Amino acid sequence: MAFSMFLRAPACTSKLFSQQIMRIATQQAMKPVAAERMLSSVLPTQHTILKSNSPPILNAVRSFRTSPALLQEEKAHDHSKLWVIEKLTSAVLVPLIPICLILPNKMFDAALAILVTAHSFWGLEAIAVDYVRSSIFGPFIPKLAIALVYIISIATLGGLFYLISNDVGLSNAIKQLWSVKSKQVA
Amino acid sequence: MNTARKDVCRLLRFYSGAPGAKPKKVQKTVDPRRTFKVYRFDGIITKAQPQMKNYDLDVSTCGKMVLDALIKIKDMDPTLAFRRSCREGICGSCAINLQGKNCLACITEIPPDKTITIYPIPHMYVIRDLVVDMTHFFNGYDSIRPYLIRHDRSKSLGKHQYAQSVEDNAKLVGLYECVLCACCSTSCPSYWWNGRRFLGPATLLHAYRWVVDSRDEDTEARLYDLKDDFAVFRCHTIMNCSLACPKGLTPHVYIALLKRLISKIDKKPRPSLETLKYASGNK
Repeated sequence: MAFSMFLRAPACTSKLFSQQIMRIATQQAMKPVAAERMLSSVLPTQHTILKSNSPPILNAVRSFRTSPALLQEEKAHDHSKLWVIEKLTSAVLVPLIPICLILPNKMFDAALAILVTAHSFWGLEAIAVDYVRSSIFGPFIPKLAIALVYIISIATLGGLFYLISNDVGLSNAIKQLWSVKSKQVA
Repeated sequence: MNTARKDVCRLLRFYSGAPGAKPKKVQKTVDPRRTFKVYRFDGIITKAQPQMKNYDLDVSTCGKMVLDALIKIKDMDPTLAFRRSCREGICGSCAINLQGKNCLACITEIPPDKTITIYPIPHMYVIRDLVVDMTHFFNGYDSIRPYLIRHDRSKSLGKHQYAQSVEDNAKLVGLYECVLCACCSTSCPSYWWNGRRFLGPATLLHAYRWVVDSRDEDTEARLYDLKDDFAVFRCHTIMNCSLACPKGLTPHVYIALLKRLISKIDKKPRPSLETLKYASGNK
C-alpha cells in the first residue's frame, strides 16, 4: 500500500497517465448527470498544468492496482441501501426477540429465523471482508472465506426452517435449553 | 439498615462539595529521572532491525511536553529523527504513539510514569525512527476533493465574497479544526486492515466538512463517490478515532452523519443565506 507508493513515486514519471488508464479501466456505468458533474466539478481547464481534460487527483486512492484480478474486485457498487437494511434489521431484532420468545408461533419463528440469519450473515461477511484480505491470503482464500460465509448462513437458515416446520419451533427450542434439570442425566 | 444510612450520608457529603468532604487526592509523585523507550529504525535501505533504545532523562531539565523531552533526547543522541514544526498543536506534524495512545507530542504532557514508551503512529510504513510515510493518508484526503466547488465556471470566480449565514458557518465548527495529524486514522483498526480503500476518519471528517458547507454545490457528486462499501462503510463505529483526537474532535459523529447523507436518510439543507448575495456587487 503506502510502501509500494513510496517506492514507486520517484521512479514513476507518468503518474497522471497511469492514473488516467486506471480510471478508464475501472470506470463503471455512471449516471450521465453525475459523470458530467464529476468532470465539470473539477477546476476549470485553464488552471490545470497539463491541458488534458483529466480530473487531477480524483481517485488517487484507487490508482495503484497491479493485476487484473485486483482491478476486477474493486469496482464500486452502491452499498448505502444495503447499509440501511442492515441497520433496520438490527433495530427490528431488539423488540422482536423478546416478543417471539414470549409468544411462540410459527409466523414469529419464521420472521426471527430470517432476520437473525440475515443479521449474522452481514456480520460474518463484514468480518471476512475486513480480515481475510488478499494482500495476506492471496487471490483464492478470501473468495473461499466469503463462500463459507454464504454456505454457513444458508445452512443455518435451512436448519432453522427445519426446526420450525418439522420440530418444536425456534422459540420453544430456545426455551427447552432451560428445561433440562440438573439432576437429570444428560 | 444502619450501615446503608451511613453510606448514603457519606455519599451525599462526598458529592455536596462541602469542605473536608472529599479526601485529598494523593498526587502521584514520580522521580523526575525517567526512562524514555523510543522506537529506533535506521530505514529500509539499511536492512537493520527496528529496536527500542532507552534514554535516561531528567524531565525537570526540559519543558513539560513530550516534544520537549524528544528534543532533549535529540541533544543526547542526534541520530533520532522525528517530525515537528509549530510546537503548539496546529500543524499536526508530531503525531506519535505515547504509552499506546496516539497524540501530538507538542501538546501532550510527559505522563507521570517511570518508563515512557514512544512509538511511531501504528500501521504506517516507517521511513526512519518516528517518521512515517504519510503519502497514502494524504492521497486519500486529496481524493475527496477538499476544496470548494461551485457550478459557476465563469471568470467571475473569486471576484465576490460568498455569503454564509452564522448558523451555516457554525456547522463547520468541529470540522475545520482538523490538522490532519492522522492520530485518528492510525488508531482505527478498519484503517489498519483496509487503509488501501477505506478512507479513514480524518478524510471522512473532511469529506463531511465539504458536503455540509453551504457554499459548496457539488454535494451530489461528492456523496456519489462515497457510496461504495469501502470508502465510508468500512467504519464499524469502533470510535477509537474520537478517543485519539488530540484536538478533541469527534470524527465518529460526523461519519455517522455522512452515512446518513449518503444513504439519503438525511438531505443537505439549502443555505439559509443566499450564497451569491454579494455577487452583483451589492453590500
